[in-house]
Amino acid sequence: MIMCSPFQSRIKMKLIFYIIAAGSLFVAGCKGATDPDRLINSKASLPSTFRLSELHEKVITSLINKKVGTMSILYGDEHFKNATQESNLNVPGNSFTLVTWKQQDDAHWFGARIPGELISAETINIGNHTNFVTYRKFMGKNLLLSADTTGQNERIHFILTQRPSIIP
Amino acid sequence: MANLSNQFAAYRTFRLPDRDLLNLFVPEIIIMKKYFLPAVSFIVVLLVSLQFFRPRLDDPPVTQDFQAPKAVKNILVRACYDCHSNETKLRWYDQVQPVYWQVAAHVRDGRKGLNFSNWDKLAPADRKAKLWEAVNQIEQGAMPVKSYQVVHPNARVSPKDLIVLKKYLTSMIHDLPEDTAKINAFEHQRKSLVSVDRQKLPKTLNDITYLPDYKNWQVISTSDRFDNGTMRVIYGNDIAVNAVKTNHNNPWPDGTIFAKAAWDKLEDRNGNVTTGAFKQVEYMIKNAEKYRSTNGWGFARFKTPKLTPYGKTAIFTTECMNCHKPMKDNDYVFTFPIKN
Repeated sequence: MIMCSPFQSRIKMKLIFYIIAAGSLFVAGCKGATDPDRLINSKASLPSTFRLSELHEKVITSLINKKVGTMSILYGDEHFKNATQESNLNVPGNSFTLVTWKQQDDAHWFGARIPGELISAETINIGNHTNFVTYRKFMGKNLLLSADTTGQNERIHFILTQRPSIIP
Repeated sequence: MANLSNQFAAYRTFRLPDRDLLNLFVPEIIIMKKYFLPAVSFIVVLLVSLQFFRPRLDDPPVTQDFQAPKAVKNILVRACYDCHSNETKLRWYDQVQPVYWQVAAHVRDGRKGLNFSNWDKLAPADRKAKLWEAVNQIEQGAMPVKSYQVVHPNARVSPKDLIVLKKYLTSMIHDLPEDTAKINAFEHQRKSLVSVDRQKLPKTLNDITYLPDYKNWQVISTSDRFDNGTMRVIYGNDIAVNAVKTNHNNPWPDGTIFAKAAWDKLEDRNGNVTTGAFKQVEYMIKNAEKYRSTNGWGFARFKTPKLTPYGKTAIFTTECMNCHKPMKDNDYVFTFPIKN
């Protein structure tokens, strides 16, 4: 058995403290798991009020505009499996959503750009019998309905002339 | 016992700090005298005899050395060549056993993953992909290996070096609007597309079957890969989407599946880029128990609309894991998911 004077035990305590301090410094040197919040792309996320996921639309194609540095995904409520034929999106009853983001560099991969700020969501509904096309544009982070109707026809034409991606 | 205590009391009359420290260890010194010498002699004998058991580490011939501008080459030689070439330069302290075993294993694994001395054995597209991967591994701090850097400080890649490497990579990108080869590949795929026979779904060597249902999943991100001229859509199954909604995305819950589909980029003269030929779909399936040996994820890739499984042997997943390693703090996932 080894007895220690109060003075000795104080030094022992000190030594233990230093060992623990050095140990925790070592552990702190190794990074832990990243906070899940920091991994969510909140800048590009859609407001929950927009309820895109509840439309259950499928990806028709994706687009990039190099000149303005944006990227988009075109969703539709129908599969275009048969990409062998010239697909025509302008079919009565079809509806589409085109979501557009400003591009940003991917912090995890040099060589990739990913969605940054949310710019807009455009929706198109083609009437069941009338072929009447309803176009709406939602703008900004909160996707607020835009009252501006200029260039609508060009946008409708642009969206409805997209060719579906080959998605086997 | 009483005798010992008296001896301590005698020591304790000195209150100088070094005396106190000595005082503190007196009982240990007495114990050490009995065991210390035999233990040390044993370790010394063991270390000396270990030196006679040496792993084999050859320098196979350099079939074709990687070529690049001098500034770029110098950085890569300094930081990578000890493990990623056949021109390994070991210092004496690398060759002391048992460290040498670890060094030899690192070199063998390193050469398997990327070997700058067999540059001719890689297809041009693979060379580019390897270089981008290497620079990304450096930027994310996964390479050079930390323990190697501690002993070889010269191997460190400074932020300035990294800029040199990145500039070199970006100088290799040549986007071609209206690329006829890509347009033809796309049109050819469209014409020869056949529907997938669901009875005979392809399977990878690590036993993962192609999952046709990914098309019905939600999108969690998209990626414009200017390093290799592709564009991608990343889908997540319900478990993945729910994990994003509730911020339970690190680690991802068991049952999470991601599908990443990739296409050629088709660019017109106005900078509009659309999807061309379908390149592949890749899956990551989370099951911490089942896929324990591959960091909790099952990796799979099916190429072209024919959905040819990727991987010549079942250990193709080493390649997947090596590339995903820098993301170990993010449960090995690169994608920053978007909430819908």
